[in-house]
Amino acid sequence: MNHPPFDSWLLEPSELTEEQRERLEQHLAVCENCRQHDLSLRSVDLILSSAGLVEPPDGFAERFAVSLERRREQRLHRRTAYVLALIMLGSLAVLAGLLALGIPQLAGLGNQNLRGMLTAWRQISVIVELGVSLLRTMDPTTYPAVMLWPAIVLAVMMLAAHITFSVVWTALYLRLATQPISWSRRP
Amino acid sequence: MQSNTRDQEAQWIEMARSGDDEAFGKLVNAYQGPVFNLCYRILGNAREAEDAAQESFLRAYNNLHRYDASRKFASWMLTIASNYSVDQVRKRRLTLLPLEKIPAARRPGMESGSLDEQLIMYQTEDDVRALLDSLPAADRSAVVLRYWYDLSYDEIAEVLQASVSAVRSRLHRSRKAMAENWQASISGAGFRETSDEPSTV
Repeated sequence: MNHPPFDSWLLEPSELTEEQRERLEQHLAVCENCRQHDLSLRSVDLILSSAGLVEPPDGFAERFAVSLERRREQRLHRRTAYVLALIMLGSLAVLAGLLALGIPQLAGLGNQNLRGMLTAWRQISVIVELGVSLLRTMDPTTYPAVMLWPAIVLAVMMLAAHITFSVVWTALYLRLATQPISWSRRP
Repeated sequence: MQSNTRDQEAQWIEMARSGDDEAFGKLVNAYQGPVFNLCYRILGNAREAEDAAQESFLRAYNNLHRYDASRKFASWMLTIASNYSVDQVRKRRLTLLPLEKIPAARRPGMESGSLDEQLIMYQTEDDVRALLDSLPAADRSAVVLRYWYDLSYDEIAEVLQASVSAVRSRLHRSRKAMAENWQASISGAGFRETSDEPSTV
């Protein structure tokens, strides 16, 4: 239907002047299309006005309280996971630093095998060489290996601690980040 | 009386901002009806409406520090609920089910009353749903605010964060579309599909 201005007048009858209202009525008396459209508009108004407000099912506020509590727990678990991730990264940095700087200084006094290993990118070779040196300690006549003992013990202890921590952290992370658990008792 | 209610509401908001969950619970109790109804009318089924209403209150709770006290709390809540529900309707484009296969949950409270009354209610609800479903989600929101909350153009514009002229033209367009759809349905052509919800995806 496209009969300006009557089609727009039908949409806002309350805003019409007396004169406009009379012109609209005269038009409706002769135009079947506009009359049908007016009838449809009135029907739609009636249908929408007769449908009442829909209330939520009982217990909405209680469900909200539970849901709020659950979100809080999830946020706490996420925060815990982030803290654990930061600790993990920190421990990695500490380990790398010790391997790069600390161990050679501890064990490498006068030891030609460890001199020059002061950069972080050689961590892996340090670990390999520590392993080789560990094997060499089986031969009591090998002088440099004896000098390496404190460094080897320290490195092995650190690696063991680090691996244990990584495993525990990964397990905790998966548990907390993907399947949040509730530490509080629910009724 | 109304001033007392607003004072009390302002007090609850202030207490909730300070971390008082019980005070926020009172706000939930006060506004659960309007918020749920808006979500229900936009989304078309009770299960999704419950989720949307719950999410709207959670968002309000988390953003309470951003609430501007010069604005009506009801308007602010309805803005959150409307935005979230409209987004949900748009996301349905990604669902694998045809829209008509999503079961229409019963209107809560429909079970009461005589059989005749229930039949009339079901028929009215079906008609309402068909009319609203024939509109884009954003227009649906304006229609609901106009018909169910009796808000003025200015108030609807505030809730929808749009200009008054945009709201006026949106409502005119919607009423015209619904009238044409209604006319088509009674003449046997059936309701047309909404523009932002394809019947099959």
